[in-house]
Amino acid sequence: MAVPGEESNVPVLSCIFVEHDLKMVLLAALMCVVGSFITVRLWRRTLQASGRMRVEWSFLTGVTAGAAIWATHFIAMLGYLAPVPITFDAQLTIFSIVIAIAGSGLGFYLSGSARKTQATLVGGATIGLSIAAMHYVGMFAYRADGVVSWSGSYIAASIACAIGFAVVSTGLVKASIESHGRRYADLAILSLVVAIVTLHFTGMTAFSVSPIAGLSSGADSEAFQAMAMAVAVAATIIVFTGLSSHVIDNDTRAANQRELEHIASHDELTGLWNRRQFSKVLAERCSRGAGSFHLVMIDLDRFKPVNDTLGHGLGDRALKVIAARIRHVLPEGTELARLGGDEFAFIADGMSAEEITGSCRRLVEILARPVIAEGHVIELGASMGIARAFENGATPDELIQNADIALYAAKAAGRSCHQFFEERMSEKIQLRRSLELDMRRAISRDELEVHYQPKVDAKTGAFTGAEALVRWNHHERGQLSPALFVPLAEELGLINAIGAWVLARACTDASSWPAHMSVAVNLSPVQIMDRRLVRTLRQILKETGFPPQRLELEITETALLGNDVQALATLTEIRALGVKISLDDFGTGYSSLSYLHRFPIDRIKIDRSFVARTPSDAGSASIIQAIARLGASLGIKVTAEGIETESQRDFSSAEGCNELQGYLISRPVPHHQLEALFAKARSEAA
Amino acid sequence: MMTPSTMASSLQRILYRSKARQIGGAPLEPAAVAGIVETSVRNNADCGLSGILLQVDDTFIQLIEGEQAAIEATFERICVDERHSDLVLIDMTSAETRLFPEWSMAHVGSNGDPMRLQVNRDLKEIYLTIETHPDAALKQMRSLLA
Repeated sequence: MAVPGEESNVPVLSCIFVEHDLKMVLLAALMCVVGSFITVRLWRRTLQASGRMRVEWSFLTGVTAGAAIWATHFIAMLGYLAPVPITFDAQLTIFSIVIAIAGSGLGFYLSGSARKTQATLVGGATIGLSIAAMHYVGMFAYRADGVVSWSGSYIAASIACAIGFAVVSTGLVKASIESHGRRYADLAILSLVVAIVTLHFTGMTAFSVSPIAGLSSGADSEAFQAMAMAVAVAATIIVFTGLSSHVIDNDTRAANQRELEHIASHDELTGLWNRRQFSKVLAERCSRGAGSFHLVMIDLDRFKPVNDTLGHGLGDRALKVIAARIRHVLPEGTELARLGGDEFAFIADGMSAEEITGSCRRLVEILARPVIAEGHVIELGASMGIARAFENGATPDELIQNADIALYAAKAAGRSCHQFFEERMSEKIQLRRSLELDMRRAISRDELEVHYQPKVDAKTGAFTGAEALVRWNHHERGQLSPALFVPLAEELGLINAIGAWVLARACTDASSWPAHMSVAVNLSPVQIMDRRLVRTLRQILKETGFPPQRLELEITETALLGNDVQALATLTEIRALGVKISLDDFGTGYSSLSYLHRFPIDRIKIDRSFVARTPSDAGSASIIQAIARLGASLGIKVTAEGIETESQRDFSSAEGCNELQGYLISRPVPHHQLEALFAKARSEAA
Repeated sequence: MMTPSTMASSLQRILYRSKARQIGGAPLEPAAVAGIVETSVRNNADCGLSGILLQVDDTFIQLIEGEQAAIEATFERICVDERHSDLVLIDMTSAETRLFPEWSMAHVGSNGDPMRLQVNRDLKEIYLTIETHPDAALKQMRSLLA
């Protein structure tokens, strides 16, 4: 209401423009807008927080909003052109700011409750009510030396407006979070401003004061302006402190977010992209559908043995060096990833097939150079397969599959080379891949089987044991020979699992044989270079309870070549368990006598190719004689393999071989047949 | 894989050979070789490496000795250097003492100078025997600087 005598048609407007100092009103309005802007930002953060963090954020939002609302009110009050002297009650004034902060803080907290409608209504109403309560407590602190009168209807209207707009603002803030829309946030700021402004000026319209005759009139406008500035500065500091907390929090969150994104998209070891990020980029490129490119897959050769024999630490070192070399060779900015293990891939964009060939040749050359790490020389190499978008596939899956097929072809072509995908590669490689898949499942499908070829004492002809030979009964392709699948298993890194299974099977089966009989099991060179071999062996012996003295492990000379220090260490450990070692296929390889001397060897098996040519071929006959004598003088037992005729048997035993094995005695047979053989021999002897 | 060294912090020695990559079919300029040697002298002095670089026609034979980490880093730098082709690591051993303590990188190259017939003959012999008898070749390399 206006000063009596200056009634207007729109009392609220005349209240603003007539009864207030406009400079102060503008300052208050600025405070209100800035405060509301910052409040809404903090409020959004409060609504996104949970648990204790929501309390903290509610408090910070409350302090900021309360300070802004209170400063708006107070500055506007100072701008009120009262016709009477004015004083402020300090205690009530302070109480009003406490109400503003605590009340709105509670409102912000409640607005984040689980039940949405209720949260909006209760939270919004609490905020509106606190604005109103702050205003009217502030008005009690406003001591005017005159006749004060209040209009009940304007008071009611002002409170209703404050609550109404605060609820609307709450609803809009919540909507802005759900829809990520800036528009809702802007509208929320607007309605918060409206809530504060309408409350204040409607509330001031409800208030009127007229001077009492005899008292001096007019407020001390200069002191009030100074106070207004002080309040505005203090409130601004509070409000901007709120803003800066928000900015700091946002920056921290953004930095954390970036770090998380980096972790999620990069390979920790090499710093290159990981498979996930590469798939994403590849998918994006494919979906663009334009601008052809090449996908190049790189696979390291001979990496698995490095990991197995030198340990993962050195394997990782080597991978890091390799990654750095690849990056060095490729043009800067090439999209390059480590897909896992020893697999890398990159996208060759804007390069012709000739240029890619050039890059791949350089990669092949540089990756084939040895890596020196911790005093070890690690010899690796790399093969590459290339598929061209969109001729060799339009989807990431097709491209990867075809680049993979080309990679297989490169490996099959002798490794350390690259191959572009060609249609004819598919069929051949699919076959191999299906065999690979099947082999991975062979153990669990129970398709592996151990057959045994018995051995006899050369003098008495009595059984002394048998050699275990693995068979694969493929569910579609029938029985596959070890000569076919063992090399594949070695290449695929499955030989250790298969080897361990065969060892366990042989030890279990041989437990039922007579106590003097031994079982011989073949070890692949890859197994000997596996550091876990001794542990596996020890565990199998423990689990089966099979006496180690009755187990013989057969190795070939090639297993000793090149890796003799490691092989010697492993074999010595195996020997220490009580297990015997025999050297298979002797006479075919280097047949170095130094091996017999340096390695802990209990038995030599003369290769079948010599036995097959005896007794007619003089050369072979003298080799057998020589080996038998060598064995006798070194105290090493000698077994002749591949005995097929009686004359071969007679010759070998006459020359001093201790043990005979071959078709003449028996073919490899399943375990139950072997047991029958042994039983028959026992009953004949009895 | 070669035998790992037994002493972790020991002196190590690597011996490799490589060919200068012919860029555009042009033979390697003496100035370019001088540049390579100069860079290598500077790098090696910085990380405590010593050794010798022999040049026999278009083949380089280099011996580098020093601490394991420095050797590894230097060899890696050589590996990614595209000026090399046909790079072969002939030998890596751990050593008690340096063979070329006074040289950050001695450089001996063959040329047509008739006064250097003996040197040229030695270089050729080292070139031919380095892979089969590295020890003897090393002795001969040492004597080149005597």
